[in-house]
Amino acid sequence: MELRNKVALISGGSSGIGEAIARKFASEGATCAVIASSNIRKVNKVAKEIKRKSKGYVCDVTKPKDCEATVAKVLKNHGKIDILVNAAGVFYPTPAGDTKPADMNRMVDINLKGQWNMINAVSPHMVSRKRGNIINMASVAGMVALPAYGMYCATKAGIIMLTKCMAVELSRSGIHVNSISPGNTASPMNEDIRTDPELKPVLDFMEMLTPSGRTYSTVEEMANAALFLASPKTGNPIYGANFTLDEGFAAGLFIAN
Amino acid sequence: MRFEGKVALVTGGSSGIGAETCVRFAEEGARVAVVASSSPDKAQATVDRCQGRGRAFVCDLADVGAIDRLVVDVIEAFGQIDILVNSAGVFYPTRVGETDEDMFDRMIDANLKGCFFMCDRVGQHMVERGGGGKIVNMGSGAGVAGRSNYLVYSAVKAGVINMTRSFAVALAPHGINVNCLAPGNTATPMNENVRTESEYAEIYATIQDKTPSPRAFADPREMAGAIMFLCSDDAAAAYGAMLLMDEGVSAGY
Repeated sequence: MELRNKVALISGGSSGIGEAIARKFASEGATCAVIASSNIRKVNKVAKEIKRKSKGYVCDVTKPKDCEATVAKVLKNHGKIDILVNAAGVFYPTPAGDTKPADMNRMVDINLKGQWNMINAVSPHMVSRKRGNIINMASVAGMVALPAYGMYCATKAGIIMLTKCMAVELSRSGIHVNSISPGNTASPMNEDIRTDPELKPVLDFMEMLTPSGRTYSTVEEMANAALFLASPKTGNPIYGANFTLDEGFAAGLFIAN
Repeated sequence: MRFEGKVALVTGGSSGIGAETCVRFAEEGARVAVVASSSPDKAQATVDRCQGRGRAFVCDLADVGAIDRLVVDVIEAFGQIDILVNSAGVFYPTRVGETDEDMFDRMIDANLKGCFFMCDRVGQHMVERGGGGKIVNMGSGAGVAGRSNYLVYSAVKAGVINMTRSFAVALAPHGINVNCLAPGNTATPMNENVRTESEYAEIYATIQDKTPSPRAFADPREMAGAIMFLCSDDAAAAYGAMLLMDEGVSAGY
């Protein structure tokens, strides 16, 4: 029970890595405020299943006012926020010359501004308590360029730097800010790549670039890393780190002899 | 008992992060080969904390022949090696105009050459055995950004971090997770001088000043905890990762 009596606010909590983190944190004793972008039934189901007085919330992370209102509601319901996990995100190609401005803006709004909006809304509470732990979901795509995914890569590179900046800015108040960079991780966000025959070339490309031979990690493994960062038993010295769990994707090239 | 039935080889096992790592492995069920660079007594002191699961070895890691013998001896004693932690290392200032060839060579031998041949020899053993393995090297915050007064140390640690990535991709197809920990300032005998001697007062003050978090030195047991995580199945997706645990020093200013 490494997170006994902790309250964790988790965006993107209705599916994928965010949901796995909510389940893991609750299993370690935390009460989770689980946020979905729109589907309250889905997120309420997760909150009900994980128990520990967890609750579901709907919040559009692209809207600063919405984030502030959600934080206020969570504080009213649970009294405090010890941990913020920014796991909300979208993933789709944005090829140069063939991307609508609206698609590009949506990517930046959710993946980059959305995390900032949540940090901006939660940090005054954490600073006043002189404690807190913030985990941002970055990606191996923030370190390794992927063709046709320029804006996704750029937002995730932005998250890695935002994490470092927030770490140095907030660490003097005892607040840990770190990021996790998953590689390919089996979640609904990439189900199309894993199953759609039309996207087989993308899957083959990922497979070729994965040294471990296991192209997709599991969401539970990312949740393990989140627990490691969030737990006072293990995460104390960690500020401004970007923890990569990517099956060797970013480490370099495997060249057979 | 996460490591029941596993055998862990830990260099630098006689003190600091290495010693705490040995103790944690033993607490969690592993049998531990505690390797010291020269003093069997020091290795034995750690073995005495290992609940009967440890055994002392001595190896000069600058000598590849000695590494070969060590690997044979450990396999003879325990039958296998599942986990390798390269924690041995030396730490001393090497400033511009004040660094002689011997200071340079000793640093390379102890911190880089030894680590390379341990990864190489134990990695081969793991490949031949099948069934994967875990290797954790010791990087450092000093390998992420430069240190004006530790020129060679910072170069060597940058070398360890990238060598970790190369071994990671080379051994990943065999299910061997190679990763590194990059501690920042951690209270160990290696830097006791910095923390206690007046000669180092200025360096100590600089460290405190440049550390964003409220404390300048982490606890070696916290580093051992991170090594447990990297060697556990929880971190099975990590290959070639650098886990930075430096109180925020490397993130910026």
